[in-house]
Amino acid sequence: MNKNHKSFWTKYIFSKDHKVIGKQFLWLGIFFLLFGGFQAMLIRWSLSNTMEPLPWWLFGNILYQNSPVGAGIIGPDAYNQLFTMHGTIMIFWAITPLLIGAFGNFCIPLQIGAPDMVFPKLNMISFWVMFLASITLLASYLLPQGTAASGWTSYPPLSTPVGGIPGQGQTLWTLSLTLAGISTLMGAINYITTIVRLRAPGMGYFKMPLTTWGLFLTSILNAVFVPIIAAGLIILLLDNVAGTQFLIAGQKATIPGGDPLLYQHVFWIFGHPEVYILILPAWGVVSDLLSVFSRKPAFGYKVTVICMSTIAALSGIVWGHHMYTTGMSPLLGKAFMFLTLIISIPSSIFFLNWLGTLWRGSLKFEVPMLFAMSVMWVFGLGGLTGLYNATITSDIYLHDTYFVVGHFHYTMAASVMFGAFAAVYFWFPKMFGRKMNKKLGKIHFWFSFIPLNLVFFNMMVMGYAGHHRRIFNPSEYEFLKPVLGLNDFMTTAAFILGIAQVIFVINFVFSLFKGQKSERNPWEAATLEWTIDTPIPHGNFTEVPTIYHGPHEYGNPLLKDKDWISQSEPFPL
Amino acid sequence: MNQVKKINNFFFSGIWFLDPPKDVSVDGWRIDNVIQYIDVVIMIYFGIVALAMLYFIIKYHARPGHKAIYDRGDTKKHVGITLGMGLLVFLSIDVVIEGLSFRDLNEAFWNFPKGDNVVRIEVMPQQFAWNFRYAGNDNTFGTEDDLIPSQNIMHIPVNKPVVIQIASYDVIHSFYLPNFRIKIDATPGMINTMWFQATETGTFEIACAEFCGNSHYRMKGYLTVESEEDYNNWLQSLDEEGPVDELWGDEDEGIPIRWGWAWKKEAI
Amino acid sequence: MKTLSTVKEFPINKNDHFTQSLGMIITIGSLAMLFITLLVSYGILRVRANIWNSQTIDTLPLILIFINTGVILFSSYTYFKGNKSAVIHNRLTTQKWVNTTIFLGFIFLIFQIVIWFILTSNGFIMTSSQISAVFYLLSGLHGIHIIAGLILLIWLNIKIQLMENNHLHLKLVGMFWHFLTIVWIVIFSTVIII
Repeated sequence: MNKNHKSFWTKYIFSKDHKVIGKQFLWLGIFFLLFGGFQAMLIRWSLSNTMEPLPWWLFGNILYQNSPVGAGIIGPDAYNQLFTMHGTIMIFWAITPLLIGAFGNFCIPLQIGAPDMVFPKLNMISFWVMFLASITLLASYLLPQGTAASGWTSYPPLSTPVGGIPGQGQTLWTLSLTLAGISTLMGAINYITTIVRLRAPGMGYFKMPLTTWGLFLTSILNAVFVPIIAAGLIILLLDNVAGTQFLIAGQKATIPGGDPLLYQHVFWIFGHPEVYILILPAWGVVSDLLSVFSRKPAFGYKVTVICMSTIAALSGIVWGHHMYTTGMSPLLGKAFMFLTLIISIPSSIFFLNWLGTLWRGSLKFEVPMLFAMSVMWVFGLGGLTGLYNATITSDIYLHDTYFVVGHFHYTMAASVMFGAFAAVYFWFPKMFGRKMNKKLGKIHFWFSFIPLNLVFFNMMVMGYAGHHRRIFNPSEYEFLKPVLGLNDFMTTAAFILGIAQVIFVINFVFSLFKGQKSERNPWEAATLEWTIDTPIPHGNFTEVPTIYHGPHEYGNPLLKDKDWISQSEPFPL
Repeated sequence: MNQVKKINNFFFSGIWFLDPPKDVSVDGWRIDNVIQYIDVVIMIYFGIVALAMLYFIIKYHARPGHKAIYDRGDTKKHVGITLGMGLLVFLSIDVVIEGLSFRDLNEAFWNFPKGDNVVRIEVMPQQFAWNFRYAGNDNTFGTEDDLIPSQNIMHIPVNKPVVIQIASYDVIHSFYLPNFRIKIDATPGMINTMWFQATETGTFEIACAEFCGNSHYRMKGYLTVESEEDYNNWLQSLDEEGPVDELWGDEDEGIPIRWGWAWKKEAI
Repeated sequence: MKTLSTVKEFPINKNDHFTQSLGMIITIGSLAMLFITLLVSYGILRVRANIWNSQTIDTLPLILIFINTGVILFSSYTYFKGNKSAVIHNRLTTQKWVNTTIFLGFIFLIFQIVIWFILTSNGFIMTSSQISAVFYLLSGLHGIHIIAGLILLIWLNIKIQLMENNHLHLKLVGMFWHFLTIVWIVIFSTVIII
């Protein structure tokens, strides 16, 4: 079986090993996380120091030198480009590669006892397509007129030539997003087939770790809904480059029959499942981690799985709640409100299960656990504030205000990102054979958690005060005067949040090379990946593992000398 | 007294320490009420969760001699309690706000006023200004005596229902009245309808709440609410000075909407 | 299927028919979602439009489109015959049928290009109406997938020539090719007929 003479190229660059590909996605994701995070710092600067030159520590001497409003100053056009790219990059180039590309690739085969993915070549291609997508996206920064600037949602007609935004940034944006979607689809095909077919003997569906369950449901949603947005993007692309008018109507349309609302429907039919796609892996990771660090099984495992599946299934029929103000028929609006509110039942149930896992446990506050518990906090808040937006009457007021921005940053930026951080700190020893520094980790945690709350909670406050979205200069409005002072406070908090991520990067890079070497199973976790030594050989397991019980056998009274037992170890007789 | 007011505010305007703009509409209180209800229930439930987590952190943190109690949470009792709590949350929040919302929509927001007492205005946002059209003395749109004020200026009489129909000239905008708590999207090729009624006079801001390009951030208008007499005077002043736009089209004839349209019959 | 296996070697199930077919099924499912979305979008645009310029297609290209539909249907049939021959282990016949399918596939593609050429020179271009835009979008996207299908067929041809055991490959490529035929039938029925 050993045609394993590998050159540098086949081992590290064009590898077909899921662990290497997972790491490649990790680098890509971390790069774009920092890129998008920096953009957020620029946005915050512009909001509290509108039309002032960027300071040296935000690279004011290098950036925006050709800005039409003055060297080093972010003007309205640049601001619009900033928040557009910030949203796009964070969602598709940071979270997706990190949670789904990196941890999906790394964890799935290991956790189910498989030697690799079913389609290793496809796996490799999926990374390089994503790489190509990244180049295409970044290339739009080199265009003379800049990048796309119609919001990450890029509603037409604004995102078509009719909208008046100059340049080809939107075209490149659409192309790169289509490529990213193709990469995601390839990943989904791989993950689903691998989970369905390559589970080790004894690993029934209800013995899989919840991380794998989250990734499994995410992949199913991806396979169904990413082609839908691809269709929307193709139509948008044609309107941009081929002169079609699928999405243009009214005064500016020369071909009758177009409909801008079509795009909104197509976009949100994908868009709503997309947010669940992003968070399902995080939910899975948190569920597993809470169990590991409470030293007891995940409370109500089966119910949690059913809840996550129900939410995934329902996610496809609630998209209208993004469009309540578009003038849809009342009946349709009420139907969407009803269905959206139904999703809160499974959500609250599995949240309660998280609490149940902690209850009567023996809680170890390692860094991954801190992040996992913080996800409970931010997702609790974020999810509950979704209620305001689900209800039509309150949404009429809060739609397109900072309230929504605060809400989705709580559920996506906070919950998903903290879930990703928890995953990084947790699996770092398995990926790299070394431990990350615990002290720096805790500093990273506290200096992320507290400022994050300060920034995004206040966004919701601003939204409640009526502050609408995507506004370059809020001081234009009288009714926003009371809100302006809050901007400065939030910017300061955001800068602290940004600096904390630098601490993370330092910890990460340092630990890669000089971190304390880790034993095989530093967390005493029971899932399969912890039964093998790092570096994990190609093919993962030397023997097919046999699975004897579930993934959370902690604290079982049958165990005598230790408080846990691995999934592939039978109970002592 | 300030302290009491602050505490009062905390509980009645909820956890949001900045007030929304002054509400001068007849139905804005409904929105404020729903929000406040959700505030209270969230504070209670999340408060319980936060306290529980604090309790767990203190009582269950790992220490010598403390063992986790092995419990999979899959007994009938546990599942039942969990489902029961989930259902309780659903019934106390979701069902209530859904009921409140349905009631508000049926009674107010989607209950369009009819008859002669209603003021009708056509709104057409463009990049980056607001255009308004009044029907003039014949109460019919698209005729010679239509009135068009200067851009971004809208007047309505106080205490009378106002119905607007809105369509965009170019990209999607959104007509947002912070002091009335409402907004409606303006999509090109589509006519949307909304209604509201002012309870106080004054001048209030109109903002665009759907990103529409590089001057979206200063697409501001002014809504002046005044007595009926002042309003009629203002309309008269338009009659003398204002241009009557000749470009108008009839949506049913299949001509793309130009500025001005025959008032759409159905309310929505 | 998931019982304790007595086999202690890797890989399990990786290259078996069901696993590989599952991958292809999911791929086809996703692609189906793509085409369905575009078709439904067309439907929505048409239903909601106040004015719909129904541009008609001239007789000559219309006849060619009908013929082409027959071509692709026939190509699915020839593939089906190829699959059947493979089951009874008749390699030469299989190869003959697969080659015919490839030939027919190329005819389809060439005819499509000819049809496009005739249409554009007659004023039925992408920007002349919504229906023409829809036609070019759908037939173009389908054409791209036909090219992919032809690449797969040629690869399959090579595999058969190398005398490898390729029932699985035949089945997988067949799924994809038949899918493309079905997509064309749906596009044809919706855009041309209705």
